Formats: sequence, structure tokens, C-alpha cells
Amino acid sequence: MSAYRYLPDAQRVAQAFPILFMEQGLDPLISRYVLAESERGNAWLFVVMDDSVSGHLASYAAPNLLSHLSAALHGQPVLFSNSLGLRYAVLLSR
Amino acid sequence: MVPKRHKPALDSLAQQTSQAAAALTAYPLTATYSAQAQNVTETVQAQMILYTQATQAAQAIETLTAYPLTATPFAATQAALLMQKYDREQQSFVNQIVTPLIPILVVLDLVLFILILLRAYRRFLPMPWSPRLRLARGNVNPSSSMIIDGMISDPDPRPLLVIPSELLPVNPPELPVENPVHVEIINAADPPVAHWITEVEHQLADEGGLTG
Repeated sequence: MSAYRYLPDAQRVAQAFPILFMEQGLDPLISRYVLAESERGNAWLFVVMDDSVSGHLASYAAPNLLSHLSAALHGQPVLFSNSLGLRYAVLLSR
Repeated sequence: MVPKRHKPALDSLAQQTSQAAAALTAYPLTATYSAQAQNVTETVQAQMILYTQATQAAQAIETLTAYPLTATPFAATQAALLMQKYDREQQSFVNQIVTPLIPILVVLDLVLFILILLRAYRRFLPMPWSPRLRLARGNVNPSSSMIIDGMISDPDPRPLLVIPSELLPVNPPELPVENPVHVEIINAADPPVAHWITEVEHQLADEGGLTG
């Protein structure tokens, strides 16, 4: 599977995420990390959050938090999705 | 026969006469006694003076006799005995304390000497496992390569060693590896992930490709 070549980057981002959360005063309530490569060739790292985050959705989905995460990850796009669970998506292939 | 009227007078006269006679007799007795007593007193005083002088003389003689006695061979003998006693005590101290320590001190000196030799050997002598000397040997002729037919030839096939700023041990201790975060690699066609990818790619396209 070609997504393996993104595994080092995915692990680097995965290690940084809890620290970035704590820097913002948020609990790193992360349940799992999922790496996948789409048919378009985009490699995505999904940071799946624990369901308990839904109680503080505003804090975890704040635009300034997304900006902070993206800046800390050297400009890699960071998206937030709350459909069928809460998760962040980091585009690694850009 | 004395008339009666003259008898008292005669008695009085006789009494006076006897008193005078007694007085005349008593005076020489008293004078003699006093003279004798004075003579005895003077004799006793003279004897006491003589006794005192004799005592002082005896003390002086004793004093004069005692000094030569202390400075005589007897004193010298006593001093010699004391010196012998002191020497014996000193010798006893040496025998009991110092002599048993000599072997221990010798062993300690030997151990210390061996340790110093080992340390010097490890520090200065060539050892195959020492990076220090390998680096030093590689630094002796750093430009020993020659140009032959336009090719750089190095007679020493060993690779050129670069001296690091800090010497590292041959087997550096392994740094603790951080636990890598477990990242699941999942096929993009799988149901939940396919939906996630579709969603974020739409979102990315809507936002113009970048977030933040």
C-alpha cells in the first residue's frame, strides 16, 4: 500500500498533536490515528477524537485552533469534521 | 627580877629583836636563791642557743651533704634507667603499631602503583578499541593521497577520518527511542474512511485547498 511512504510524516504529526493541544489548554482526548491515501493521491492523517470532546466542541473546532495546528505543522492543511464522530484531518501529501 | 610594869616593854623589845634577827637571816637566803635561779636561767638560755646553733649546723651539713648525693652516680643511674625505660616503650610502640602496618603500606603502594600503570596504559598506549588513537593516527598524514595519471590515489586505503569536536565512545549508549505513535493504515475504500476522505476533500475544495 502506497500510504506506507507517508507513515513517518504521519507519526511525526501524531506525536505533535497532543503537545499542540496542551499548548492550547485542551486535553488531548485522542482515540486513534488513521492514515489513508485517496484515489486522488492525497494522503490523509485522521486524528480521531474521543466522544467526550463533544462537550467542548466549540473549543476543539475553533478556527484559531485549526490555524495554530496548521502553522505548527509547517502549513499542512488541517480540517475539522464532526460528522459521524469528531476528527481532525491533516493533508500530508501537500 | 623585872618589875611587873616593865614586862610588856620587855616583851615588845624581845619580839622586835626576834623580828630583826629573822629579817637579817632571811635576806641573805633570798638573795642567794635569786642569784641561783638567774644562773640556772642563763644556763638554760645558753644551752638553748647552743642547741639552736647545733641544729642549724646539722641542717647546713645535711644540705651540703644532700646535693652531692643527688648529683652523684646514683642520680646518673636513675637517669639512665629512665632513658632505658623510655627507649623500651618507644621500641614497644614500634614493634606493636608500626611494624604490623609496614606490609599493609607496602601492599597499598603496590596496588596504587599498578592502578597508575593501568590508567597510564589505557590513556597513552595504543589500543585497538580506542577511538582516540585511531583518530590521532588518521590525523598524522591527512594529505597522504597522491595524484597518479590524473587520479587521486591514496596509499592508505583507510577512509579519511574526520575528527569530531567531541570524541564519542565506540559503542555509544543507545538513546531512549520515543514510543512511536501507533498509526493505522487503512484502505481508503473502507466504509468509514471513504466517507471521511470524501468529506474532507470536499471541504478542502470548498476552502480553496488550504486551511489556516
